[in-house]
Amino acid sequence: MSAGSLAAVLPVPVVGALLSVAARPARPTVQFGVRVPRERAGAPVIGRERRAYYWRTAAIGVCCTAAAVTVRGYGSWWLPRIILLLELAADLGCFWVARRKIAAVKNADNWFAGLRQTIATDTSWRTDPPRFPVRWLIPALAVMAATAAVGALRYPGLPAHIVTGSGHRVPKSAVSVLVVAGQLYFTAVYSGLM
Amino acid sequence: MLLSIEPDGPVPIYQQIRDRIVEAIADGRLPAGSALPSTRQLAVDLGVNFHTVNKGYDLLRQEGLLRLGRKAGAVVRRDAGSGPPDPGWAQDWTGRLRTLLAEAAAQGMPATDIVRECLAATGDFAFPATAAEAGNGSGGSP
Repeated sequence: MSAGSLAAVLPVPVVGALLSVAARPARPTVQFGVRVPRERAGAPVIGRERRAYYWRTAAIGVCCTAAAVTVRGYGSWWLPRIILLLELAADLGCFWVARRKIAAVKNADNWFAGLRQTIATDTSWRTDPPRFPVRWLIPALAVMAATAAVGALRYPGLPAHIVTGSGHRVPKSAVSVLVVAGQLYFTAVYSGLM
Repeated sequence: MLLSIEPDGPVPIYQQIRDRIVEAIADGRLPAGSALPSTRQLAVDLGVNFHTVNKGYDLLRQEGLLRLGRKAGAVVRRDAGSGPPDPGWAQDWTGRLRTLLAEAAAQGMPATDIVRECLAATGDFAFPATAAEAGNGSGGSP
């Protein structure tokens, strides 16, 4: 499997695995976006829907990964992405089904009957917010500056061919340089620099 | 300051917001000059309508406890150390107190219990020690 096809297929199992375990770290009082009383956190419907969500999304992940590996040979870069979108939609559907079932039982049994729900906010976060610790950025910025300096010294110019984000090797041109610059831009955005 | 409301409670939400802020001013958590979040920010944090917070803030402004400005936002105007209350306020308060006492009497609460509850509640707030102290306050009253 080439680097390009691996890059196209890999997001499918990774996203599938991440969404499959997404419900695990949820707070006990908020299950699939449904707020439940602490005493009801262990209700049978919650355990049942968590297990059902896990197995459904795992099955979807396996099927989508198999489909992505199968279609990669056809050379269409967009087919694995379509499969990834379908996987996301199916996993969101599983989430919605679990949410709807838990909410239905919660409303039918009136889980919050006799309980007082309270909303609390700390106003000091608005009136006196903690300052961002700018000094903590210094090590990261130093590493980035050193990397950029070493890169500029060792590779003063771009190579004749450039590998794009989709794994294709393209000749150096104004467009391909812009593509690389765009990738650098998004890397900087994700790093929180811009 | 931790501000909590009960969205499903019998008291209107704007009244709860007003009551919590009055309590915070009374117990010293919000001294005169303290800033409060903007109405929109507080509405977002509490998950309520912006007009609900606006109504609570406006009540406090009418009572002379809050100053609302375009630049400074919502700022606590006075506290227990800011001197005697505004003229006419004591009369309004006495009227409301009479209603509260009437409720207790109508429900059959003995006067001794009412006095005991009142004394217990006074321990929660930062009252001026004497009338003279209240008159010589140096709070943030404009």
